[in-house]
Amino acid sequence: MTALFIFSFFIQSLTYATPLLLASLGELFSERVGVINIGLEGLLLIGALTAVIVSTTTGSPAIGILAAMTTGMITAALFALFGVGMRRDQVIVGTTINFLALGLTGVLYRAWTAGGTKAVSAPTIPPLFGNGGTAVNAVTLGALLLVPVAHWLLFRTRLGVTLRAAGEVPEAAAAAGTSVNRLRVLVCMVTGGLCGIGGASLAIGISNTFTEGMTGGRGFIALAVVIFGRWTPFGALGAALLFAAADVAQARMQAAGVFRIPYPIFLAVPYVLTLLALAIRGGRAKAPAALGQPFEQG
Amino acid sequence: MPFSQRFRLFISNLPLLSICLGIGLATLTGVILLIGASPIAVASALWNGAFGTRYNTADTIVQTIPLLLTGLGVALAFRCQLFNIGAEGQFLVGAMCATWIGTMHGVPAPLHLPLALLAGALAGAAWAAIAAAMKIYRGVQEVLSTLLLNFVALQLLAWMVRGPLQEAAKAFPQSDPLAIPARFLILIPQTRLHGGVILALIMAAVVWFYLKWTAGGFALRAVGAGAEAAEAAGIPLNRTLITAFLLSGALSGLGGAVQMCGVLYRLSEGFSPGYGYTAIAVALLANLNPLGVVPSALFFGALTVGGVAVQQRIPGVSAVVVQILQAVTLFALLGYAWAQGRKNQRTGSEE
Repeated sequence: MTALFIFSFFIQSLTYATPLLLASLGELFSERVGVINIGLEGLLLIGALTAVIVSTTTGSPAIGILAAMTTGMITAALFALFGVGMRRDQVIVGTTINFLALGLTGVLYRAWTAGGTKAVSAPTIPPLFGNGGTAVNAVTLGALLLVPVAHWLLFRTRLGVTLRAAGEVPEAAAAAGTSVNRLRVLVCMVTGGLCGIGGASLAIGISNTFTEGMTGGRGFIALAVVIFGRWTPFGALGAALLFAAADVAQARMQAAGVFRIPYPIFLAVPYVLTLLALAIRGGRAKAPAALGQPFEQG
Repeated sequence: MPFSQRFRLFISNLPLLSICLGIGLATLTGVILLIGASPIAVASALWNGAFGTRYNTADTIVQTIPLLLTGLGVALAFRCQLFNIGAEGQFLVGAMCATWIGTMHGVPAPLHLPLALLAGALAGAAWAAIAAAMKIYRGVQEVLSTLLLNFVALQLLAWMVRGPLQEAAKAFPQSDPLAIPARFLILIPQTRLHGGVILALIMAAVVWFYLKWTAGGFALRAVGAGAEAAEAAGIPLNRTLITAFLLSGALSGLGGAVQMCGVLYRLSEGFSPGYGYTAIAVALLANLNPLGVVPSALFFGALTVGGVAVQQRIPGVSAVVVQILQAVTLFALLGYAWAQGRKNQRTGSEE
């Protein structure tokens, strides 16, 4: 019984970690190439809404996920246009993307459900194995598999070296013949695609519906995950699991009515941990040197 | 630059600005048409909701006050190149501490309101000080620390209204109402317009004066223009950064306190619809000019009140339509700044 409890707790944490992990892997690549994208929250929302609408209309969760990936990429292209192409401040562009996504998804969803009168039950991503509390779906599995792939790509390939160089010393990368901004735009799009899938996994993998602002700050937590994981894929996996486990534990404790510690304090723990980790390790120690700085190719 | 020259520059840039805003508005119109609503109906509901009646106009000003104060806080930090996006958290802790003082018994009546406001400002400054210390001693980017602190503040609020600050009856997650002497006077009867608006306008003037005419304000702008050059010129970098952080936090914290003492009187979860985030848009629309923050906050305040009216009057349109309008405004400004930079580059004139 205890073993089953721990197992189902672990599996549920994995499911909850999926949107976080996908968004933070996207952000990880983005930051490694020198782009700070705080519009993850918005990208997740766009993905979530797209997945709900498309999977309901077509009846296929797979098409829903693909569509979410696409709209995520389109939104990220808008981010890249202003943040990389026009060299505007990325923090401001990211904030604007969040406004846009919150507004756009809210308005479109309300219009689509005719002011909330139409009940929506989107087809969910079917489990690959397990059932009920221990079900694992393909998106979760894919996100987990992506971790070693991302590690390999970043640290074992030529592309990875170029990518990291663009985030640390873009001048050197440019001198070596890399088109830094083109690379940054491409990575932004990948981030958008991953966030789109992440949003889909939230909407049709966990909640099975869309609500206004349903991401509830997950995009911002993903930023914390990247920092906590020290800008490495395996670090991000560990951090995403930690944050998700805190969330699941909180929900279960609330349901069971056991409160030795007030649950808001419990929920604040991951943020406080991230702040502490930043303070102890120092922010400049690991963050890419050229993070957030626009680059003008000479 | 003399005013006449600045005015001419503004006029010469008008066509460009119009093009950018035009593209933005066309996009928004497209979205409204896409969901099958009439852009004219939305615009008229928005306008009537914001300024249609005396009560609505007063409410627009009421919504402007927290945006004005947090917008000033953001503008001040951004002028120093400090990306303090933690106005929301600073606003929340300001409201919490103002509630703590405001619900206290035995405070002399004439001092109750000033003390509550002071507590809010100090709390906001203290919350910002955490990020300041992390930046200066540990090199942590303030974008990350202030953002994380927003979430800690949100959970702190959730705990406060269930724990230390919960009402004596312990029925709901909310505080007791503030004592009457700790509240602002209502300026116009039968509306919610309160005395906080005067304080907010005074703060705009104070921040403008500080930035333009004092040594501290000069140092702040110099660091914003280039930290290394400012340091080489003998401006103490760390002290300037700390000052900017504390003042910025204090303004946002004051905003939270004013919202408690002027409108809500009672702390509860989710009392802020994200004023601290909208404040970023407010500050940017004002081009980080403290006096410009006044009309800019009014614009966003009107959007907030108008948005609610749109949702009530036009079936199927959500109040968050104003978020799109915010985003479109910001994108238009960003595009304008970019185009202007290119134009200057072509004509060879300095920015």
